[in-house]
Amino acid sequence: MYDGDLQADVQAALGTSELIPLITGGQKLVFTTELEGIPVVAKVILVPEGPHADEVLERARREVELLSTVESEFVVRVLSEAVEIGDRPEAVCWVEEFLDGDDLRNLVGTFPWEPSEVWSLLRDVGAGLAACHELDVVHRDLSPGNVRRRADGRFVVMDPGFARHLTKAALTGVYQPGTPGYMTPEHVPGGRPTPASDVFGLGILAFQALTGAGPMPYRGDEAEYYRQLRNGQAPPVASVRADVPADLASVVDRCLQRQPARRYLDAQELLESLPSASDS
Amino acid sequence: MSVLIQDGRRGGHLRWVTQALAAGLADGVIISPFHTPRVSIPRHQAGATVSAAVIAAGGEAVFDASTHARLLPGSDDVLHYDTWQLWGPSGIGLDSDAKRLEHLERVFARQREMSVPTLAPTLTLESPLGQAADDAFRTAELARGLDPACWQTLAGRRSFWRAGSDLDAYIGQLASLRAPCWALTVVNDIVVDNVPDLADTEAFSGLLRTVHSLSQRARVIICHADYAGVPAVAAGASDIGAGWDRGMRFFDPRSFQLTTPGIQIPASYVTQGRLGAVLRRDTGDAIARLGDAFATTLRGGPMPADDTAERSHHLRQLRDLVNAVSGHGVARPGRIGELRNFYERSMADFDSLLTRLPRTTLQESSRMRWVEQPYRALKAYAEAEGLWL
Repeated sequence: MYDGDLQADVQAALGTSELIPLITGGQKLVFTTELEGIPVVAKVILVPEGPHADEVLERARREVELLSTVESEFVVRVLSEAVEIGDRPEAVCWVEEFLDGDDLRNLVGTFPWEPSEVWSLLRDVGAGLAACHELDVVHRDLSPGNVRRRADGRFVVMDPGFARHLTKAALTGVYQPGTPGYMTPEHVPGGRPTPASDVFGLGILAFQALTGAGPMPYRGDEAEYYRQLRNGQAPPVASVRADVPADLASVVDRCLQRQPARRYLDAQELLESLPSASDS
Repeated sequence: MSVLIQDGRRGGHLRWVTQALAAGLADGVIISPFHTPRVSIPRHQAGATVSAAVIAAGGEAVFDASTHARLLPGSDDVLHYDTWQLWGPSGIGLDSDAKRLEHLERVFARQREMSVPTLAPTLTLESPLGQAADDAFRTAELARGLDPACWQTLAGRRSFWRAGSDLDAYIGQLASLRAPCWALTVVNDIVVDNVPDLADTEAFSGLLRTVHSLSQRARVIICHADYAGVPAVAAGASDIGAGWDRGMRFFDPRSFQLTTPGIQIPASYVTQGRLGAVLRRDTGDAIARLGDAFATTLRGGPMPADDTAERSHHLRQLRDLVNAVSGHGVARPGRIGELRNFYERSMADFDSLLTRLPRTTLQESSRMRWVEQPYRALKAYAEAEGLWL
């Protein structure tokens, strides 16, 4: 445990004003603050002692590197480099743009949504993912906690901390991240993420937004969950909610094909299949 | 497209091929460096000459570098193969970036010289997991880097096609390369006769599932398949590799070995089009004795008088079946239904024949291997897809 004044050190290292805790507890801390008078978010990753320290540090560095490379209004922007705190180091921190609105995690209670909102979700998150895929980067952990709906209705992808650069795959080794209930068939141990995995993840979010429930929910039994992911097929969205427009149901169903070759192969292909905002 | 003639080493191959193309019995040719030299020698035309002749005859020419055959243990019949000089200073194999790049550059260069599509080479895979599968993927990926429009190959033993969700995941990776055409091969461990062996229902339904997936966005060719490849057409493939000799109809490892006991010529066989089977000529004669009209119907035409006539008859029967199945367009239920009806009628015909002919003339195993096994594979695949209607 860091025995210094972490908040003060982070504030000094990043050059921000006072840090106001937004999310604390666990390995990742989030603060709201200001940088040169502009509202921003300071993110801090605590680096554990022991064999996982390098992995955590590397993942944080990669998240910042990735965010600074991706150019999309649908992916949260990073405003600083990754700065290490302490000698070991004990933490790594950086500044991101402040996003108003709310995470989907806090909006689950508002499901099911109208189709028009789900079209927007597909379009915006699809655009964010497409910006990642263009750089051969797979997000790998798309979940309600990693998508934010801003006050203007725009959806933004966040926290690509587990993202995998397909040409730097060794960085993440065999470890597969993912949030139970939001994993893809490629998350099952031994699997390999591809951009089509993110398409599946977006399909889960869209399905849940339309129906109020996930297509392949996690019920506490990991083995059974993995078996379902490997061998099962998500139900057609129309079988759960009959009034979903056929074109929207078709898109969501294709995202959720168990076999990646039968999905949209990446977010750009998904985007190209979507009707324009004025038509949906 | 529908039937592509696989390469063969008999002296008259090119003449037979161009005749078949001119007669509308086939649509193209798959040239192999094992059977066609790069530089012409007596009785064997150079690859560029073959491709030019095929194209001039209105056919499609494809050069399959057959790397998945070359890298099989025991593949040592390299007299023609070595004339192509497909490997660089780093040596033979696809287990390093240097070897892959050198090989791909040479294969693509040869294909461009022949004015045929660039078709990337691959390895024979036992499993979609492991180093070999990684090497095959990296080869495919590198090929795409060299030529984004290149076609791709995929070759696997039955264990590969039987790998279930691991196979599906691997196919997902490959599909991400967006190849416009896939040439798939089921690599047999051994071929003991001229009869298909689709006993491994799980493996062949895996192949059909793969064809279904890849054909949603690409053309799919099933190499060395002949009648055994027709279920893949039902699953979405557009072409099958076929021919008249064993090494053309089946991927037979012995076709690439010096120890092969000469050319296997199925001269004493007759294709029974309505049965979807190639039976011994003495069986064909016995069927003819049951009634000329009946026998003609089963054969799909008059008794071929000789090998030349049987080659044409075989291609015509096979192509008609392929076209009947693919004639339903991209909708798989129609394709599957067509082939299902064909197999069910064929099994009924076989049942009738089995009661009327002595067991020494026609065995139950013929029915099993020519019709029932492919039917089972088709059914297993279609049921899993919800297409067995």
